[in-house]
Amino acid sequence: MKSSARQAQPVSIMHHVISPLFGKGHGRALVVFGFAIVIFIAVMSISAPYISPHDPTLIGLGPANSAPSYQFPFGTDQYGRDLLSRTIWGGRFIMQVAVAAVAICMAIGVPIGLVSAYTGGNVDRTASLIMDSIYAFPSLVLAIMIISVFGVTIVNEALAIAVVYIPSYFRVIRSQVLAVKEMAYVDAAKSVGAGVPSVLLKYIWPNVASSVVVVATVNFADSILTTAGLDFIGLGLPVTLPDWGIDLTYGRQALPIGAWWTIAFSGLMILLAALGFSLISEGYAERTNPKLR
Amino acid sequence: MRKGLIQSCGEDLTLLQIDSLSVEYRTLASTAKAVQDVSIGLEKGETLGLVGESGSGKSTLGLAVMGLIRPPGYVTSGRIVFEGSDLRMLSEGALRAVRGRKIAMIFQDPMTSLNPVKKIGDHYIEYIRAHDPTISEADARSTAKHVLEDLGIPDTRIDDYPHQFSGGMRQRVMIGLGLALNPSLIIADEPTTALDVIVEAQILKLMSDLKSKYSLSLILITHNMGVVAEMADRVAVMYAGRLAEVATTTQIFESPKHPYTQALLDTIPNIEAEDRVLKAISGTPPDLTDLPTGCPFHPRCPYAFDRCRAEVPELIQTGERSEAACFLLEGMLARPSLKSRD
Amino acid sequence: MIMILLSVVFVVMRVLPGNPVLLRFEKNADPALIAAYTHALGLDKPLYMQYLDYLWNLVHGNLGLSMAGAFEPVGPQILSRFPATLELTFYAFIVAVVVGVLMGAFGARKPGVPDDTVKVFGILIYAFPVFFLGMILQLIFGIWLHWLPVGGRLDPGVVPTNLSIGSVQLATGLYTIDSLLSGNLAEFVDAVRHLILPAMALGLVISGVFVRMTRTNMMETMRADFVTAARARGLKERTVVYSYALRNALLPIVTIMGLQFALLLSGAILTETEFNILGVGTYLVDRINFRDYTAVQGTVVFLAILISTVSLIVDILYAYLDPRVRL
Repeated sequence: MKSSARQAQPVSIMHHVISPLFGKGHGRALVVFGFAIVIFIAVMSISAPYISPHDPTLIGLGPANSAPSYQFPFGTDQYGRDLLSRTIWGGRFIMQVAVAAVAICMAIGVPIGLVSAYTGGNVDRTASLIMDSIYAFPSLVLAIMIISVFGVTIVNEALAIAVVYIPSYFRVIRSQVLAVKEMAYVDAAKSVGAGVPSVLLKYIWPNVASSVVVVATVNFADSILTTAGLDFIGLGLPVTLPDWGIDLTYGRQALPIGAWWTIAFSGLMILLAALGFSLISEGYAERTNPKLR
Repeated sequence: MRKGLIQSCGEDLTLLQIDSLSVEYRTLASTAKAVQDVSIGLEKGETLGLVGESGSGKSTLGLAVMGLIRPPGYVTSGRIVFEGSDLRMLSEGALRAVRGRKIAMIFQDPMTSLNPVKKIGDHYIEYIRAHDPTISEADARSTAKHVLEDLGIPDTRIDDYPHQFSGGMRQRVMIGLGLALNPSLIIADEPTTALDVIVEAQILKLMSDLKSKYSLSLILITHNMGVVAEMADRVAVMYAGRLAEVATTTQIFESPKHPYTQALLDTIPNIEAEDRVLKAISGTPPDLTDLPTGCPFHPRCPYAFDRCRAEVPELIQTGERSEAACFLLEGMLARPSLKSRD
Repeated sequence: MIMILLSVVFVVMRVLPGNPVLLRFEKNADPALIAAYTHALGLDKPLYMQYLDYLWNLVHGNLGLSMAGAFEPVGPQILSRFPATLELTFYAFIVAVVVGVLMGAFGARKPGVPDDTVKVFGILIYAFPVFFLGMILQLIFGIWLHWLPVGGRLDPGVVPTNLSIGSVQLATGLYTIDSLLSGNLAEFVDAVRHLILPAMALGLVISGVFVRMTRTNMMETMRADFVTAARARGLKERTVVYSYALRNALLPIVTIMGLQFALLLSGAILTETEFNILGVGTYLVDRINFRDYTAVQGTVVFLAILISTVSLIVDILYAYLDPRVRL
């Protein structure tokens, strides 16, 4: 914190956001592992068209529900589609929704939090009241509501998920701003004539940045799980497109005959994606929270 | 030069004898030597003031006597002989019987030393019955009431919660918890630091009265020389985990031998001094994970010479019941620059 | 606060899409039919009147009329499904708390490898999609080992007891309780067998939060002065850990229970679907598939009210537990 008052802004962000990633000590394993997983999934999803061995939507490539074999390393589903290809392709929708949701959330939650905390008074009270009401509401239910009426698109799902997460960003930003607002160096800056926006940006943002990272990663994980859940109950993409959640819904039907491969890989991927982000979040929180050392 | 083991004239007067005690705190990154090779004794009925800056090891020493050092802290050597037995050799069960019953501890911040969800009375009752399960709850309760009365707290408040009391009253409650089972030794860790000056005076007087009434021995841990001057018979000064000087209160204040003690006394503001400058000891206390070689005080000592940087001074007897750890005292070197207040 | 939630639901379900009846019927329907439906549902009134009606109805416990078929009231339909959900969430909650707190406390007390395991477990289990965990459990315990049933609440052929005195229905709908009350042990055992897997799946996932919070709180509390002071008085370690440390560490956890309940409900929707349990969750999903928007709205409103009520109860509970708040 001492550095932000003296050094230029870019260095402060480095200090607060990037360096906790690499120093020695607690939580580093978590962060590194998490990052590795996330990057792996991102790369896999983006390069799917190039690395997928077969077309994931082609029916009848192999026998229905066949166990993993040399030809089909992840086995086939009830329509004879190659599960390896479907698994490689399956994350795209989910990840896109997640990125959109987090982006929307941050874009709305952060500014509102900043302004509300800085302005104070009735504005702050009203905003806090609204945020508190939404905060407790389960995102899945709200998403169900919105999607059932408006249909499924990346933006819709992202929006539905984002709405319930905005209060998290709002709260975190707000508490940091309130704490920093009282500090002497902000007053000092103001007395020298620095305007409101620059005061906010320069002095408050760097401190707030690390908390935002924690919330954002949790947001990502939650979004992945919610989207997968929506896909599972049938509120996801049209069924022909490859998607981990949809694969679980249909793979499930093959369970009674003991066909574990129809659900294992898709489920595992959802778990890994959520896990990756959660690890980053926990690792980060541990490193920037002195109480946990 | 011999190791400074203070022997009193009659062995049976010694209540507590600590021999070469060392305590370390180990973390992934480093090891902090909180207490190093400390030997000191306490007689029955004596009040020993243990002073030093934060980080000097005084609180750690107190906790070590109680057997309350837990990982990442470790007692690495030494004996703690209390009423004839070495506490370090006792099993956990035997040690628990001693804690609270024979040796009691009073802590610094009464706000955080009491369980916020337990009534005051319940603190007492639970404690009394833990040491003697045969006592009925009703009896324990009346004992509690007596103790509270002794301390000036109306017994109607026995069912109140800690947050309902003022700071001074909470400290009285804590003191009561220390005394309820008539221990022979009380270790008080900064008992008045969290209190304002007026309340502090009351608490000190209370402790003094109780001490005479119940013939207690007391180890008073503090960084406040004023408190020490008022309450202590003997004073032990610690620095960076080692004993710097041990002497009677009078000797410490009138003719301090160790440069650190002298510097400490110098920092006490004196309204009668001619220059109105506040003195501080130059430099900062050492990092316990990275101690300098030789005498730990040498970086800040105005009289340091080569030997100080190379060897650790041992305690040298300077009087009947006093000793100090400083090479300057060896062979009684002429020291014209030291203030002589004899 | 609850007003805001209810208003949000109203806005999303009624205001934004316009006329939900149109959505249901899409293009081909007879305009007269649409008009009849719209009128029957009160959707042709001006918006502000609809809003007032909505609120008025809610106060009277009227959650709207279903759009499927005969305009049956949605309320009783939800209530008939509610016991199944309640039973599931209740047992899952117990699993979550027991597993979570015990593991968290264990991790806090034994640093090093056990603690790291607990930490990782907490993160891992919470990232698990609950329906995937359900599937794994079904596969292992139901299909491979044949130990437990894979879905539903009772085996076919087991009839739930009908507790009644005269014409008064006493059954709670919670099979585990009803069967105990009426002494039907066979039914009790059957109901429990059907509950184990879904409750475990849902409970374990939710326990993740409790594991982490208990662990962090315990670690902090164990270092608190009053804990050291208690030890200094010679109290047994067990007393110190449970009566002093844990008791205080758990207090902040109660405050997030309301939040956890919301998560529990979301998870219940997915768990019910996975295990074929006919509860509010499956009702909601059904109604969506039937494009029965008024029913969907009614259900969401029901859930919002439920969550708010639980939050309120939790707040009162907290005041009871923490003497500092009471006075």
